[in-house]
Amino acid sequence: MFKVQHYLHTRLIVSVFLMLIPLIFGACYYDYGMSVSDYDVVATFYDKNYSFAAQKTFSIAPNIGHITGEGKIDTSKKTYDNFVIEQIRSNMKIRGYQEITDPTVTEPDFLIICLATRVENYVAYQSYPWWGYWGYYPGYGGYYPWYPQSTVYSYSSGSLIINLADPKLTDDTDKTIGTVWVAGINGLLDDNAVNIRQRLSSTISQAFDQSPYLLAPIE
Amino acid sequence: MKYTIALILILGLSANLFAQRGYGGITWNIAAPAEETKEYIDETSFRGFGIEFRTFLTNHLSFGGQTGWNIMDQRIGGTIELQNGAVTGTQVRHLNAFPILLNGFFHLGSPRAAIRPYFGVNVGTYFIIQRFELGLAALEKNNWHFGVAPEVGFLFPTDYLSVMASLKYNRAFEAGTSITGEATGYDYWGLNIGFLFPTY
Repeated sequence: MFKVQHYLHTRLIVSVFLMLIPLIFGACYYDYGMSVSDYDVVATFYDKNYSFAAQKTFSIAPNIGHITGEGKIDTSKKTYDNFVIEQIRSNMKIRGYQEITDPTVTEPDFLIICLATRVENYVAYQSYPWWGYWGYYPGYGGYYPWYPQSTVYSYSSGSLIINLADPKLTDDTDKTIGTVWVAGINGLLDDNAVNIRQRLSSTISQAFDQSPYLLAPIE
Repeated sequence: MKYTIALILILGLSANLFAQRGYGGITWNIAAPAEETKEYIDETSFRGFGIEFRTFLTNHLSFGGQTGWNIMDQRIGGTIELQNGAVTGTQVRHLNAFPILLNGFFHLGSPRAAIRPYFGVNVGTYFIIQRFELGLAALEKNNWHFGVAPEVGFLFPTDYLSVMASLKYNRAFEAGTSITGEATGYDYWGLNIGFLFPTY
């Protein structure tokens, strides 16, 4: 009798504990309920040997170059191009740089060129229902715990690259651009227009905020 | 001298034959990163469990093993300064630790005592998965580490089982390369609460 009771108690406790494991763990990698903007990343790199403090003027290319696959036609809508250019212009002016509107007449200290890419990402995976759910609904015959659930989802991601080049360092012979600062902004594009504008604005500002050396000399 | 050693061995083996009893156990494992690991993740994790067994060679001395799984993670915002730049974004840092350890414990008090404190050491290996997510990108490194874990705890024997609570300091020594490209060790405190059942 004692052994039977002992066995039942042990089995009950072990069963309860095993049922709690999914609750304790949830998943290998907790996702923290990330929102779309949480996936935005701003990276900036600069030439440490370049004298940013000596530069005063800039020009910005009026169009954003949209990078597509080789041989593919650029079908991007360019909805946000003007907004992006305006944000960059605004940040440069806030930092004291003067804009040269016609760089063919006066050579600016900085030439800003922007590039954008859009990538469609497809993810397919198979998952298995928690084995613990097997038999949860007694009426469900034919419900096999090892039957896989296939899931496919897609998302669009995009990158904006802001290139700050010194025309004096550009070499036409070698076809190299004298880039002294570059910002890469990467994030998800599956968002509404208002949010995308807000995210573009904050991430472009962040690129400048984390680059304190981008500051025109005070005259 | 050799007769003394032989006598101790014979007495010890005799004691084993009479006192040997096995226990299996399951524990809920709470982990708190320590030392350099704290610089990577500085949050206590309540997601972990352990499975263990121990065989009493005498009334006081046990030998056994344990394995388990501890998930530690943390979400961090802010800017990372680089040598020639900076990166800003939401970082999610993960550590998954799977210890596989052998242990020896010394238990105080008699087997029928209401509380049996014990202490000892675990030695073995830790399989540790380190993952770093920034935006849509992720870096992941998996390494096996040699490790030790001194442990103190209490057993509360009842009619059917023993409730147990223990505090363990896990030290996984440097091995392989981490996401930074360097050999990295890991440290974390473990508070384990669970049950031990007689297995025979």
